[in-house]
Formats: sequence, structure tokens, C-alpha cells
Amino acid sequence: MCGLSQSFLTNFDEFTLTNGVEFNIVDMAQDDEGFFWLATKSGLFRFDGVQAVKIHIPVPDSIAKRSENTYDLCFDPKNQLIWLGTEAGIFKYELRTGAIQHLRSDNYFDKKNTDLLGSHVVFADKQGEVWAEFGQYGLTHLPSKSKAVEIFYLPLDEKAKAAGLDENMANKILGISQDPNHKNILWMHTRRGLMKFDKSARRLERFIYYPKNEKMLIEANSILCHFAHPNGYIYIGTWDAGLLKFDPRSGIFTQFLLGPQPWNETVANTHRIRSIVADKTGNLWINGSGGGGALFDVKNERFTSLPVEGSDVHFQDREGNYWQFRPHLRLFHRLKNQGVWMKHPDALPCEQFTDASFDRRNRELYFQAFCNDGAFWSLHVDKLTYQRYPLPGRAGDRVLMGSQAEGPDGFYILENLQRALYLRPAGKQGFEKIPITFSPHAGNLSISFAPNGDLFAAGHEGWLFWLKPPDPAAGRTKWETISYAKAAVGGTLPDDFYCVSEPVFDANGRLWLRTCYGFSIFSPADGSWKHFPDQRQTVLHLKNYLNFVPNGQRMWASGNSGLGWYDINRPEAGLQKMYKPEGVFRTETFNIKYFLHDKLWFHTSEGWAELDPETGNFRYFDWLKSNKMKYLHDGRLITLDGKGYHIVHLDSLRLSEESPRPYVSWFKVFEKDVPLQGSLLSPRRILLKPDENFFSIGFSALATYNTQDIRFAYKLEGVNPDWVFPDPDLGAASYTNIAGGDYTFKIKTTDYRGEWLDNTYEMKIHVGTPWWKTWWARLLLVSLIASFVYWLVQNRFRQQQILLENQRLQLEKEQSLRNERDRIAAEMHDDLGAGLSTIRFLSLAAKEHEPDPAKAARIDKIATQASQVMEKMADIIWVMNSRNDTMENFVAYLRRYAGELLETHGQKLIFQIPDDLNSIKLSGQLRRTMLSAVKECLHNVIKHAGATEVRLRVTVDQWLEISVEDNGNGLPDQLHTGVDLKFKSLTGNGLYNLYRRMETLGGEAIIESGQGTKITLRVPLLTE
Amino acid sequence: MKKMPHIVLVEDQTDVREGLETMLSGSGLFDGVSAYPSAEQMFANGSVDHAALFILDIGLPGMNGVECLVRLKAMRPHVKVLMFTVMEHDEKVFSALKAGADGYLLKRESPEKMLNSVKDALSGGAPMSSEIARRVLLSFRESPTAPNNQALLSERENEVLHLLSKGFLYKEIADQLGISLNTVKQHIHHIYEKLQVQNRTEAVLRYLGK
Repeated sequence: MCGLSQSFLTNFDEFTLTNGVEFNIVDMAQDDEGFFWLATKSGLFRFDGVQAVKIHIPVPDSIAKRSENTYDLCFDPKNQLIWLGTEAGIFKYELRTGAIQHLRSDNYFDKKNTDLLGSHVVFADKQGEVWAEFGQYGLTHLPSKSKAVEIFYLPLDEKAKAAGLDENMANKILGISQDPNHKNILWMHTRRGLMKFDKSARRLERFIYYPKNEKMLIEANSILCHFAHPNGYIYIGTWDAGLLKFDPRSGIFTQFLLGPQPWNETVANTHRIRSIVADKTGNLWINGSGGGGALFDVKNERFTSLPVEGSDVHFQDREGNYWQFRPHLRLFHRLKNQGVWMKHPDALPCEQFTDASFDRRNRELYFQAFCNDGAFWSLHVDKLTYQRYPLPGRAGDRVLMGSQAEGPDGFYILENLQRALYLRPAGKQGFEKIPITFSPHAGNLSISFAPNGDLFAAGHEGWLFWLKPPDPAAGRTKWETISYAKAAVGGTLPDDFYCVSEPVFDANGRLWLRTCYGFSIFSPADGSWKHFPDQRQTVLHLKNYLNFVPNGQRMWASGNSGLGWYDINRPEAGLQKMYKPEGVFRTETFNIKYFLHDKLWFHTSEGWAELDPETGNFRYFDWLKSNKMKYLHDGRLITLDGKGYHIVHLDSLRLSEESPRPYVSWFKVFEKDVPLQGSLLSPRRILLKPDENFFSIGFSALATYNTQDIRFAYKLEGVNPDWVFPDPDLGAASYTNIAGGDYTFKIKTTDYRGEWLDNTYEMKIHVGTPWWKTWWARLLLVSLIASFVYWLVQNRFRQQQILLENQRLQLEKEQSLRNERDRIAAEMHDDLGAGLSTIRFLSLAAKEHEPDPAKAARIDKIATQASQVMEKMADIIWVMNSRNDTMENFVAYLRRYAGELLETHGQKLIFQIPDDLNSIKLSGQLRRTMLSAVKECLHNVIKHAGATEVRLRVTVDQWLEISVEDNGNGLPDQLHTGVDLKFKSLTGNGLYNLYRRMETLGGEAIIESGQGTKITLRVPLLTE
Repeated sequence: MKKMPHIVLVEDQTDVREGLETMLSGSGLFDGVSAYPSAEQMFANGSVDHAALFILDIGLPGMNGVECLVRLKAMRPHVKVLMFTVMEHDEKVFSALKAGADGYLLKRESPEKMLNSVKDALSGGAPMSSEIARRVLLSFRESPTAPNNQALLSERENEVLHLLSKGFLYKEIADQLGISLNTVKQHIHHIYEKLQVQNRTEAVLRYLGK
């Protein structure tokens, strides 16, 4: 058993610590979304095919270490939970919330009854019921809500007791599964035997295998694993008794041993089976003794390969990919759903496999190889059995199976060493020799049948043989041969007619042959040749190793750097269409092989690819590198190598290109994990508080195909205007000081070839806004400010209104006062004035006609009095007029009055005033009082003083001082200076009144008499 | 021999009208005095064309004195008109002066003074109190048509007006400026004319346009 290869075992992806994957994986499960869950000695991990993320399990420090001692992992699809069995107990992880619950056996049982703290096995069935070995021997049923557990314990029967089995060990459950056909049946293996539990009957049953060699009882019943097969049997992996098949109907065990070594007490560890994994075909991957893997053919009940180191298969995912998790996590994704690589029997006396041909009639694959027993060998592709066909007369010969062709009457094989042609007639089990001989110069020949049943053989060295089989109807009793050769070897064909390929017929029955510099077409119907050595322009890119594949009216051709097709009716028109593959396939040599499902399959040194001629799309199978691959016409392909083969389902190949599905794998705020709510691939919105604006986002992709080549791009909409293309090793994005608002975090990825995909993932993130930054707070603030401003404006407006109103009222008041004053003035003027005028004019008229001088004098007095009253009235009206309230007006009035009065009486006026009077305003009372006082003084001067000159002086400081000084007689003695003016009796009424008037204004009157009289009137000025 | 002027008096108070009429007629200085109680009657009956001087009571009922003045001045721009009033500093007096009145006659004056005023008016003189002078000054200062050359006061007129506004008598002004009393009166007359040019439109509009 040497040199096991190759394609299968070397085609794996390995995930190590760089992917976050721990070494010591104990168990593995896949959830509905496709995520993998890894139970390791270091805890629980979630793995997406790219990166593993450790799920933090919060356990008390006292048992933290024990929690790491993980035994079992289970996905509960009904409740969307991951169950983890550890030495510290059972942990329940909620997929949708990330919440973890710790179930401790000592919470359920009395300590003294607790054998074990932890749990070695936990299992959730499809109905969501949870079963475990949990601190007690026997099967524990964990109700979802209450703490009332049920424990099922089955005592040993008499036979087992007699055989010396340990009862606790027989109730020590190591694995539980649900019967695929009966939902109420659970199967479990224990340290001592297999058990069945009927959920409805609540009953346990035990099955013990009693081997013939009684000493092997323990080895045969110490069970490491079991698998309840849909075919109804339970397959059991034993400590050292190989694989057992248990038939629940009959209760019978059947033993299958892994290797040729006998099963006995002297050979240890030879027949140990650690795990059983069923593939999609129902065959079982056995993780055999010594850590090797083997495949058990359930149908044929035999191991089709033997356990080999490193080929353990521990898990098959939903996609059909195989996983291995010891020693490392390895993904054998490239041959999902398929059987294992099958090694040819060592006894096969053949070597140097170059190719194979498929005989559709017999469903056998003939090997093109050297065989040393004078026989052809084949593989039956359904039975997977090898068949030997001895060649007549060649016993013991070394034979070389060469070109093969399916003819009308059977399958033809050319034996290359003797250039002998053999036929396996339809319906027969052996070969017979066709009596044809070929030129020994022809070199290696390739044979092919024309549509009419004629056989053509093309020699690489430039030969073509046209072989017509015997046809009694045509008068042929034996094979007839027509040979063509290039001119150099005596033929008629061009000299470059060599490098000839396998003959290929088009739909018109014409034969297409590659030549060294082009191609030639031979028409068997008229024996004509067409050579296309000059087609270099059109076949330039196809030249060398030209291959032909016919397809309807087209002849497909491929060569270097591309492929295309000719119209078979006008090949001289050259290639009608040219296709060029992309990527690493671009510079390959394209070896087109056949059409499968309307797609052209071709092989390159990078692997296989298919072309859809309709769309021009290529699909690449870079891992499918075998150049010896045959289609088995039943949806399967077989690839061969020198030592064995694989059978591949065509459909399964297509599954392998599922796009990576990006997602957020973790979310941290200030380096603290935030649980992701909802499913990972379509999470709920992340809600962050205003101060949680410092966060990092870890991202990854759910992918199982060439994940190491996936590239990521991300952006946080609202922050990153464009996609960010992070370093391939950096699976995280960090953001700081993100303002409040709603954001969308987006991720997209490439496929493994680096093409960006339309697989954008979105996660909504809401960062809270501090209340003072929220719209409502701002609105409130704005409202407040607006209200305040409004209030201010209103207030101001109101105040202004009040002010205006007051002013208006004041003005109105003043106006009405003025109006009143004007009315009084007008009435005085009109009524009093008119009356006085009448009195005056009547008295003047009466005086005119009065002869008596005494009476006339009295009448004149009336006229004069009237005139004086009119004058006083005029003064009053003058004073009442606010326009005349300035000192200047007052002084001018005074001056004019004094001037006119004194002029009338022939006295001189000397009027002295300060230069500037303008700014001083005088009240009406002051003006009237002072005016009448000055007038009185002047009249006194005129009446009594006998003066010739009057000096009238006005001075203004804090006081208004007006002095009237005459050069007349002076006052009589009793009225002289020093006399107290307050003494009325002494002063007389006039002067006394003068004094009183000044006093009402807070002023005074000073009378000086000597050479003339000087009266000084002083009143204080109210300066404003 | 110079022709004696005819005088028209309009005064609504019968006694006053008759008194003045008697006084004026009795002076023998005039070629008859026509007296009317209202402006309307004057316009209806009177010989506006021949009168040399009109004495108009400033507070006539119906068409008031100023309106009457404006009409008269519109018909005969050069006829003399004195306003008959109780007091000189009546607002209406100034309005009348602006509208073209040649002076005013105070009702309280002695008959001699009244006759002098009439004679003054007929000889082209014009009375101007300090107040009126001040208001005339103000009127020129504030007038929007001040740039009008015709309405601009000469330097001497300005001086006269200023002195008048300070209460100086005509005679004092003549002494101070070294000009004759007649020249002062001429200046004052011109001042009135300019004032009227400046204010006529406004006055006419005010009294006729309403």
C-alpha cells in the first residue's frame, strides 16, 4: 500500500491560527445560515470559511478552565441555538441575540448524586428537545423551561451482567442521534453497547454485540461513534472491532474489518473507528485506526479504499464539502458529494496509464496503458469492478492499449505494440482480432469511425488509412484498406501532412485532420482533399495542437490562446468566431474535448473549463486538473491518474462557485463587543448611544471556495464617500467620532479570481444624537430663541407703542392745550378784540361829537382804556404763543415796545443786551411778568421821572436781569434806597406789586434812586 | 395836483366800520371811502378798479380777509392792501403779508397813527414788527425756492431785516446803517415783495385752490 496520492488529498484548504482557527477541534456543526461552529479545547468558535471568531463564554472563574474542556457541540435548528457540552456544564448560545446561558448540573441535582460536573454530550433533536449526558449516568432530558430534568437509566440484563459488563459504563452515554426515519427514536452509543430511546414510550433499550471471542467483548462494545443511516441500519464504530452494522429489525450485528489484519486480541488499535461521516451518496467515511480515513461502500458492504494517514474525514457540510479537523481544520471542498479517490487494485498488472476510452454499450472504461498479462483491462463505471480481457494469441505478452473507437458493431481497440486492431463485438465479453495490418512507418495511430461505418486511422507521421469493413451487400468479404501518405514517403499528400491528429468527422461526413501547419479535410464521398496549410491567418492563434470537436454545422477548433469554430460548409472562410478565456487560463493551450449540456469542455494545464457558446461565458474548474477525464454519459465524469480514479458529478462541480457572502462578524464599541442581533447575514440595526461613537467593525465572508483569495471592500455610507479597500489581512474597519445619525455599513467582496461581485451586504447603524443635538432640541432652542426675540420685539414694540402712545397723548395733550390756547387767543382776538374795537371806535366817535371838554376827556379815557386793554390782550396773546418763547424774541419785543413808547414821548432809549441770547428759553409766565414789569417801569419813568434818556439793560447769566435806569428826578425820599419794599405803606402799591411779581418768580426788584432812578429786576433762569 | 386816492374798507363790525370810515373820510385826505360789511358785497358792488387802497378786516365772515386779498392782488397786482387787525402778531397777519398785503392797521391805534399808517402805505411804506421780520427771515431761510435769484434778499435788505427782528425801530436802523428812513422803508417794501414772490404760489393755491 504505497504512495497514495494525490489529487484528492492534496486538494484541500487548510485553516490555521492565521484564520483564527485553533488546533484542537473536537466537534463541528453548521447552522442554517451556513456558519460553522467549532468546539475546541479553547472554547467555542464561529467559522465562516475565512475567519474564525471566538465566542466568549462567560463562566465563573472557578470553572473557567473546565469550560475549555469541550466535548460536544450541537446545532438546535428549531430554537436556533448552539449547544456546547463541556466539563463545566452545558452552554446554550442563542444565535439571534448572542446570549449565552450556562447550565450547571449542580443546579439540577444534589451534589452528592452528581458524578460529573460537566456534560460529555448534548443533543438537540429536530423537535427542539434537548438530550444530554449531564452529571448523571443515563440519558438526561432537559426541559426547555423548568429545572425538572428526566433521567433515563437502564440496568443491565442478566446476560450482560453474566458477561461482566459494568452497568454505569453501559449508561455512560457518549453520543446521541435521532433516527432519520423515526422522529421518536433516539440512538446513543455508550461505553458498553448501543442504546435506543423511544421518546413516546419513554423507554430505553440496550443492544450488546457478543463476539465469538468473548475476550473481545469490551473492545466490541466500547463504542466511539455511531451513525443512524437512512437505509435503516445503525453503523457503529468500535474501540477495536472495526465497523459494526446493527439491524434494528433483527437485532443482529454485522462486523466489517478495516484491514487485512485479523481481528484478535493480539493486534491492538488496528480496527479502531473514531468517527463515521456519511456522504451524500450514502457511503461512509470511516476515520479509522491510526488516524487514517477509508470509505465504506454501503451498497456493496465493503471498504473501497483503505485507511491512510491524513485522509480522515470528520464532517460533511450541507454543500457536500468534506472537512477534516484533526490535526488542522481542512476543507476538501473540491470534490464535494463525490466518492473518495479510488485506488486501482495493486494486483492490476498495468502501468503508465495515458488515457482511457469509455465503452457506452458496456459501461466500461478501457485503460490506455501497458499491461503485462496479454490482456486489456477495464473498469466498470457502475460496479466499480475491474475486468480483464485476454487478447487471443497474446498470453503473457506485454500489450499497449492505444486508440479506441466505438464502431457500429462493437468497440475497437488498437493495440499499439503490434498495431493490431481488436474488436469487442456488441453483447460479447471478449475481444477478437481484426485482420488488418498498418504500415510500420505510420507511427502512433488514432482511429475513428465515419458516420457510414468506415474506419479511419490517422498516423502521426503523415498517414491516413481508410478501412472499409466487410460488407457482403457491397461485395466485400474482408476489410479493404486505402492508404494515403505524404509525398516524401511515396504518397500524394503534401509534405507538411504530418503531426496528424485523431480523425474527426463533421456532420457532412467529411474528415478533419490536423496537420503541422494547418489542417486538411478529406471527403470520403469523392475521395477529394482540401488542404489548409495557408490558413495561418485564420488559424494563427489556433495553430499547433489543433483539436477538433464537431457540433452541428460547426467544427470547433482550438489551439494556442483560443478556440473558435468553422462553418463546415465553407471552411475556407476561416474561423467564424473566436473565444479567448480569461485570467490564468488566457495563455493556455486549449484542448477542446466534448460538448456536455451544450457547453464545450476543454482542458488546459490550469485545469478544466467549459464555454457556453451562446453567452461566451467561461466557467473554470482550476482544481479539476486531470487531463484524463471522461464523460460517463450519466451526469458523471471520471478522472484517472496512474494509480486510481475519482468519479465526479457534473452538477456538483457547478455548486462550487457560490459567491462569498460578506457580513459583519463582530462589532466593538471602545474595544468592547456589542452582540449582533438577528441573523449574521441580515442583522438588525445596531443602536448606539451618543457617546458610543468610537467603534470597529470586523467583517468577513461566508465562503467555502478558495477563500484565501477573497478581497474585501467596505464603506460606511455617510462617512466614506468611496469604497475602502483594506489590506487583505485586515478584516476590520474603525471609526471614531461619528456624529449622531443613521449610517449604512456596506461590504462587498471579490470571488477567488479577484472579480468584484454584486454581493453587497448592508448593516444599519444608528448613532444616537445627544439630546442637545437632536432636531427636537434644536427646534426647541430655535423656538425658545424665536420666542424670546419675539417677546423682546413684542415688548420693545409694546414699549415703543406705549411710548408712542404716551408721546401721542402728550402731543395730543399739548396740541389740545395749544388748540385751547389758540382758541382762547382767537376768541380773545375776535370777540374781546371786536368788542374793545367797537368800544374804542364808538368812544372815539362820541368824543368827536362831545362839546363838553370834561365829558370828552372822560370819553377819551374810555377809548384809551379800551386801547390799553387791547394792548394787554395782545401781550397776553403774544406770550401765549409758544413761538415767542426765546430770550431773543422777548428782548426784541421789549426793545421795539420801549423804542416806540419812548419815541412817542420824546425820550431816548439806550438799549443794552448781550451778544448771544438765542439759546435761552423763557417760560410764558416769566415773559409776561417781566414784560409787564418792564412796561410798568417805563410808564413810571414817562409819568414821573421827567427824564430825557432811559437806559434799558438786559444781562443774562444764571439770572435774567433787566434794569431800567433813567436820568430823571429820582424817587421821593420816603421811597429811597434802603427802604424795605416789604412795607407796603411806605412803598405804595405800584412798587410793592413789582416786588411781589418778582418774588413769585423767585426773583427780586432792586430800586436805586439818586441822580435818576434805577430799577433792577432779577429772576433766576431755570437752565434745563 | 396829485389825484386823491379812493379807499375801500371791508369790515363786518358796523360800529368799527363806521368809526373808521368816519375817521378816514374826516381826514380829507382821500377821494371817498367805500365801506362794505363783507368781501362778497364789495366784489358784487364795489369799484375795485378805481380804489387805490383796500383796508380788509382780517377776520371777515365768509370770504376772509386773506382770501379777499389774494383775489384783489390777482386782479390788480399793484393795488395797496392793508389788513385791519387787533394785533400785529396774529398768524393771519403774516399769512396776509406773505400773500401780498402791504401792511396792517391796528385797531387799537390812535386815529392819528392809523392815518399815518394809511399814508405810509400809499407812499410805498410798509410796517414790519420784529416778529414779522424774524418770521420773514425764517421764511427766506427755509424756503425751498431760495436759490431763486429773484427771491434772494440783497445784503442790505438782509441787514435791515436782521435789525428789525431784534426790535430796532426804522429810525434806529436808518441811523445804524447810515441810510435815510425812506431807504429803510424801501428796503422793507422790497423785502415784502420778495417774500410775496416767494410765497405767492403757495398763498394763491391755499386760498384759491381749495
